[in-house]
Amino acid sequence: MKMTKRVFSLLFAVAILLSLAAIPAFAAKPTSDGRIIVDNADLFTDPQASELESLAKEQGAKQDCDIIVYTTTDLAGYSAQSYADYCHIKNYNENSVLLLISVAGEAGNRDFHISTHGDCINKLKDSEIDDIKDAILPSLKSGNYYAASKEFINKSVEYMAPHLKWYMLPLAIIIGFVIAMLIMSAIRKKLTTVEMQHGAKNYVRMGSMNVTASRDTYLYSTVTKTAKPKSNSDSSTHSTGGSSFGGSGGKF
Amino acid sequence: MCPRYLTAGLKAALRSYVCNSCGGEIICDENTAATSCPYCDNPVVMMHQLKGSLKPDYVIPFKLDKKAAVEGLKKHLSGKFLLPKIFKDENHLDEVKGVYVPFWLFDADADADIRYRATRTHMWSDSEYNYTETSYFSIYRAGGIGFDHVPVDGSTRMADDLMESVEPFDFSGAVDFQTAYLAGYLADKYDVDAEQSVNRANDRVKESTVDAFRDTVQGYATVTPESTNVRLKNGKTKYALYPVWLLNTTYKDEKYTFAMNGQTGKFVGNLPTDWGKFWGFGALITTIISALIYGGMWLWQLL
Repeated sequence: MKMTKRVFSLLFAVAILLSLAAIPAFAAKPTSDGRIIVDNADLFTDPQASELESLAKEQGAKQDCDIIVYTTTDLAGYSAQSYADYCHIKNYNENSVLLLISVAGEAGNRDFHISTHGDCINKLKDSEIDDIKDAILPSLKSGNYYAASKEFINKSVEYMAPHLKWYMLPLAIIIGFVIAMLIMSAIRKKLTTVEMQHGAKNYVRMGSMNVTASRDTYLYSTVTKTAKPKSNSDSSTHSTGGSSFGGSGGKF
Repeated sequence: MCPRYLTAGLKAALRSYVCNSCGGEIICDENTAATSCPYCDNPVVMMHQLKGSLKPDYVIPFKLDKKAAVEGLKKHLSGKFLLPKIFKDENHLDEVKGVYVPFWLFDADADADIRYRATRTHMWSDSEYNYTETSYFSIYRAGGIGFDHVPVDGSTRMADDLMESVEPFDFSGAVDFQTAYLAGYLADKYDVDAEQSVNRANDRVKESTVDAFRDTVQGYATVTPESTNVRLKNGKTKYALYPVWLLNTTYKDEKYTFAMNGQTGKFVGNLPTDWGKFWGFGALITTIISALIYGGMWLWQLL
């Protein structure tokens, strides 16, 4: 008995150690000095980096969240998603959105990933993240990382700010018009008092109605089941390292 | 001289009579049974139009006078938001006539057997699914129902929809016909016979029979008739004169006819629409509701 207990606790300890080791060692990366443009892959010139930095700070303040651009040459064996999410955990506050650009050496994969955390998960819907991805993909492909990052910062803030789709106003007007016409037609109906009458219920002989047969027969029943609508959030999430994240990425 | 409402677009054959009081010539169409002399205003009753098969069985005497009819129109025009203001302000009555309108009265007994398909629904849900249970029922009803004195307008001169709209008449107010009741009013004899009129009465009786049995099917979410079988036995047919006030006005070269039930005071008549007001207020309401909806969308987005 004692033996098995010991073996289990040993296995448990090993498991914990392994999982700790699985977290990439980002501690050395230069993020603690408050910079939110982390250009490990050296994709930006210095003026570009500082320009992006001030733009991200200024825009991020509007939505009370950190907007981060993180570039790397090495994903250290992780998927772009996990790597981006770990960047969050290690370095930034609760509410943040991060663009990871990964350019490996000569033949490696070129990945990008947008990761959302905290309030930003719900502020950026899946469809909006897809829009941002579509918007920055051409710049990434042509190697214009500066333009892609700028687009990412501007678009994220635009989508995070409360906004309505363009068709919402016409939709509201159409609904308003239909309701208004129903109301006006109901008022106009009062002007029409002449019409053929339905039935002759005013002339029913008092007490003349008799029901001689009355049968209600049960035939059969059917049961239909429909899946409950998923929670009405349009942002899907996944869990990395015990925290929840949103977002998606791709290759370029 | 006949009342103006008689002459509009009618090609009825004309008859001439001599006034018993002043000797003046009275020209009327072939269906007129009572009128007044255009020269001395004495009531004239064409007795031969009310004799034999033309003699009405009953008459409901006028209970409401001309003043009540004019008052009725005023009330009819008030509280109508979309009525053009000019129509109300410059309303000139062209004529107000008390007319005894010939009606056929039909009695009918209906035997019905009707089959319905009905459903009842029950809903519940667990953590993943919503369930809807629909139960189907076959429903059968049979029985009878009787109708008395269903009126059908027997005069082609009176618009059928106008005459049905001033209904109902209360038959308990009817008395045996006497020509004395006609004095001072206009009256027509019927020119649509009972055989032609009975179909309309039967249609209405059938509608009401179906409605009455439908009301006995209770407690279901949906009820649809599957087969409907209504057999009618017509009883006695009676001929009666019912009192109706007719009022005419002209607005923008169009004639508007109103009718008031001379027994109950029920007043009917279609009115023109102020389209400027209709679209103006329509636009206002559209703006308000659209603004509310759009505001609501923003609020929903912000929360």
